[in-house]
Amino acid sequence: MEKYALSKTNTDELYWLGRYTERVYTSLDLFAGVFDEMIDGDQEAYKTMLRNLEIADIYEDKRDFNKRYCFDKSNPDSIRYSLERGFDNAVIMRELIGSASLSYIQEAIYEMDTAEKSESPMIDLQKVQDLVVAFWGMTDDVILDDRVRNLLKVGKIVERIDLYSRMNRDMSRIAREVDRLEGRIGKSGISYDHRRLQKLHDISHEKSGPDHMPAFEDYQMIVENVESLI
Amino acid sequence: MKADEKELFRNKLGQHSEKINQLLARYGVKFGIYKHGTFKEQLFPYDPIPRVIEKDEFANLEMGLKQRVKALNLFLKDIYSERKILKDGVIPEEFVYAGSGFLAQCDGFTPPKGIYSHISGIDLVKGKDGQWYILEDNLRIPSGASYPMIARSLMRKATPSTFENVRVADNRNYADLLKSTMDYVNEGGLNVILTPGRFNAAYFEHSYLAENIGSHLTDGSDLFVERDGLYFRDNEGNKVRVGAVYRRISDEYLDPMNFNPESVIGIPHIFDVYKKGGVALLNAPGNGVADDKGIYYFVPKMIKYYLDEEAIIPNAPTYLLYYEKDRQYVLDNFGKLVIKDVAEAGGYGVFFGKDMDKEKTEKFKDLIRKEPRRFIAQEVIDFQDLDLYDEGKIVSRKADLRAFVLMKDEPVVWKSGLTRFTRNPDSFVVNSSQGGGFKDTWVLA
Repeated sequence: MEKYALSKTNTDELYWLGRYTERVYTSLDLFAGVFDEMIDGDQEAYKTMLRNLEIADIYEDKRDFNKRYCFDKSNPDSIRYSLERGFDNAVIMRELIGSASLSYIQEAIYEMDTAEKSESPMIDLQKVQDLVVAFWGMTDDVILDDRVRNLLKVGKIVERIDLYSRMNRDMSRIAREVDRLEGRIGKSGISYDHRRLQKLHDISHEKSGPDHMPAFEDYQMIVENVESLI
Repeated sequence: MKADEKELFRNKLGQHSEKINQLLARYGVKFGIYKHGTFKEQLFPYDPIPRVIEKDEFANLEMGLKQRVKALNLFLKDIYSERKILKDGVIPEEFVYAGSGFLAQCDGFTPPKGIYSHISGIDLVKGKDGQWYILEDNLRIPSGASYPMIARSLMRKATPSTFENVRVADNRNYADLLKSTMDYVNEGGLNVILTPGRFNAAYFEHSYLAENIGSHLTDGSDLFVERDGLYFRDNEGNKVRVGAVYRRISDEYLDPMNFNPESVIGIPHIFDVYKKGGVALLNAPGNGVADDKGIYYFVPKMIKYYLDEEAIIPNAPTYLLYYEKDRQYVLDNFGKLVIKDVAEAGGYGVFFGKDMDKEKTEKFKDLIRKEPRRFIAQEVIDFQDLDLYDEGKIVSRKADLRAFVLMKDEPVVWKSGLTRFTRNPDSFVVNSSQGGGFKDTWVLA
């Protein structure tokens, strides 16, 4: 089959579509954790999360945070904002990712609208996550061009490494994501810094395992290298 | 079908309305409008009760549409070369040149295979007397084929038994027709759809067609001209030759070096490459001279002149205010007529004489006297109403049909079309931008 000529614009858009969908997915996970914690525990647990993610604390209290961090379209740090940006990338990629894939992102936006008006938004937000997963599944299934699939996955994995590192997640989990990234990035056609990929590998693997206690600086190094990778 | 069977059939289809519209929303079947400087995307309401055209009836329409598009292509070729039709006095010379559609830049050049309008959208209405009339020719960037395409695929899932029992010509071949139309004139290289971008009113159609033809969709940022070729720059920096561009950008904005220098969405020098035979442009620049509402008046004369035939499908009875006799008739019968501004589109610039009070009427008549070239007038045709499923009830609304004719060595009429209806029971204006909806068009096989 003749190879589809991908433009630089296509490459950027696919990469960022991967990043934004992952951002929505993992941010919902992080939010769910903090949301539960604040029900009867630390009422300001959200502030720790914001600090870790280097997001400005513009919220009045936990109620304001719960509402605006999830649903405020004008807030560039909100989950809704990331979903809309993901959609902006997806909608101009229809001929590459297919209408069926795009439809899951569109549905996720409709579900966001429903969740915002819901008395139990956490229940409805689960559907948003489900639709992001469905989007990933559909793209894996319908996209025949390896480069297109890999570009989406590279964006997804880069975002995941970034978020996990900021939240000081288990280093072995981060190492696994770096391994996945190494398996994909060379097949995506995207230009990257090989030296920084090697650094990601070295740090995440050296600091994995039960005998190692990664320091704050280790996570910072990962964030710095993954952000400058592409 | 007997009347009660028809009623049952319509209700059976109608009950799928909500689900199909939800799916259309899911697939992003929208169009955009600009209101007060703000862009807003709207869903295009779909009614599942189709317009049905019998096989023989369509065969006649097909002959008429092919005839018309052939004549229009011959007119365009003539206007941009020898201009025989003007020299023979069939169309007044100044009428052509005074319009904004004639592009001097296109003069003396014949596009690949002599085709100007590769994709024509011809608007028709069916009168209550059963007569079809041509309302308008759209030869620049006609829109709308994607909507019945996607609606059909969903309806077939919703009610497969309907399609088992009713033999409807499959309309999902539009993408193949379009691809073969592009391939026919391709000068060697990729097929590309050129879009003004995400915030164009018809963006859904641009992307849906690109997906279905398997062509590249670009906003032009990846295209460039080098010597006599148009190229696509890939992500590795390689240049890939482009052979045909289905451009959804108007002539004015297509090439800042040849047309509007303020255009930031065009491709510099693409028109020069086109003139050198380096790339095909669908539709050709300069078609506006033939789809001007004023020129529409002359199309039956074009058919006679170029094909020596009488028009199979007539125009709606039309008066050209440029001619004194027609102008006087219009001034004397203003209240019975619909007046159209030749420069407007999308259902705008349409005025019904009966809707104007005395003061507005007099002002309009003054405008007609001052700028007769600007307007045409038509008798108000009593369209046949079509049934619509509206919240559990069947209601009747006015509807038109946009037929699509694709041109290769011979014109091919797509066995379907976009039927647009007005949701307002008192309105004749069906355009989507003015709140209308759409139906599928079934041509019985």
